Amino acid sequence: MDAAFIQRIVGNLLDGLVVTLIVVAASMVAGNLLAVPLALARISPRRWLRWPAYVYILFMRGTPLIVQMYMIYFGLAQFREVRQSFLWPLLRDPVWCAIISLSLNTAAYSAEILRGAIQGVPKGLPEAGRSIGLRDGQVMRLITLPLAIRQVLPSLANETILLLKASAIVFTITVRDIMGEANIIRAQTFRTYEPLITAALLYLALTFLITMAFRLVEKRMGRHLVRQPKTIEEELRDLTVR
Amino acid sequence: MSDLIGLIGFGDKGWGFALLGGAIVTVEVAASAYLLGLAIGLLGAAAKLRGGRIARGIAETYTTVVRGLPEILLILFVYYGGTSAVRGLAGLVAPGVTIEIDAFAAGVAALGLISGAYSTEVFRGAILAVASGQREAAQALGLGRWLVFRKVVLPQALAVGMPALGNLWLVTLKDSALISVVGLRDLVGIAASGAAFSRQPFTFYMVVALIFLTLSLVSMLALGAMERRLTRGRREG
Repeated sequence: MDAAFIQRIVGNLLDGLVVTLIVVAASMVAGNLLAVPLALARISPRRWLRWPAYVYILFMRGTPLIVQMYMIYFGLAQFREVRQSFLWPLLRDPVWCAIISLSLNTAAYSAEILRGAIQGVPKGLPEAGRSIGLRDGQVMRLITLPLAIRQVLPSLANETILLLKASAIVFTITVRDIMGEANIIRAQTFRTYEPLITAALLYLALTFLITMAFRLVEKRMGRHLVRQPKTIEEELRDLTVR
Repeated sequence: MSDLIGLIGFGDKGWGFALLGGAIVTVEVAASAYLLGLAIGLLGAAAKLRGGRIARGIAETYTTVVRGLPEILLILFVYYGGTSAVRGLAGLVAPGVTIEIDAFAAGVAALGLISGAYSTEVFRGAILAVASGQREAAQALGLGRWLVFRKVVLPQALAVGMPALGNLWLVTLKDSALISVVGLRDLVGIAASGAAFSRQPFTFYMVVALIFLTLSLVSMLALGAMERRLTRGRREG
């Protein structure tokens, strides 16, 4: 192993790191924004909203992400309407296709989590909202949804890590993310261990950073849950009990 | 519509039989990997719960690293890394021999290692969830350690862990789609050929997605039945 080779690996993989970060961050934001209307449709009393959402979520969760991505990147070109549409510049770009398929996929998973949280909001709270004269839409927007989203936030860290891991398959549609750069070096140099282990270390470091970042955010968001400093009476009582 | 049936059907120009063969390969890979994963999971849980410091450390490192890495990276690592390791060893014995690692074996090994990391955690949690009085009562009856585990602890642990293990099967089934990347002629690999041949990629990948969906739904039904059977002792009424 020579220094030049290591330098090349590290340089290229850091380029890949930027691509991975862009793809994951964009999909995270777009996927979660999409998850809100999807979850609302999924629990809607209207059948024409509920059923499409149900089928969409079932399809996205019941089929492999790599097949969904191939359908978008390789598949859509089959239709002339797509090739002639204004979306074509996006749909033939591998990075855009990667972001689109990861967003559509993660939206289905997030929607299910959000649905659970919405249904888990204690019934009394929306009822109280209705009793002071809020309409159904207002109850959802002002009471149920904010409470549900706060419930969901802790699972966001986990989802982001899953998304990061899932994003590694985008190299199969020629995106040069961490995995893509590592695989190119592997194929060109016939050296397997150095690029793949470096990539693995980068992914582990990213997982660690995501965990830490969310822990900080959670701590900050949970500020109001931290107990107030004890009064002197309480301190004394605790001392005597012990 | 008749074009579609001609393309993916079982006629002489149809890809039906090829896709069916691919589906069988996919299920074979997924099932073998899952079983391997269960075996690794039992060993891993034993190491975590009963092992000495070294065994615990190895098991802990294994589950942390494997669960933190992308599945596709592990598959490439096992496939290419395994090939060069085996080639290196063979080169020592008989120089000039070329050896290819079977994509099927590499896929099963990689996916098995992945699902093994998750099932280690499931088994560990499920075994811990069995009340210790159960184990003690069985020991008091004079059952040996192995018999206590097999007849008392494991059945109850399985009932607790069944939902998670069922989920793990569904995940492994979907992950098995990744091994087409190392050239295995599984469902996705066959579809790629069909897509290139017919210039109708969307049709082929859609069919593959629907086959996966069917496999998932059938699995969910079967898992539901198994779960009911495993928990029949604790249902009320």
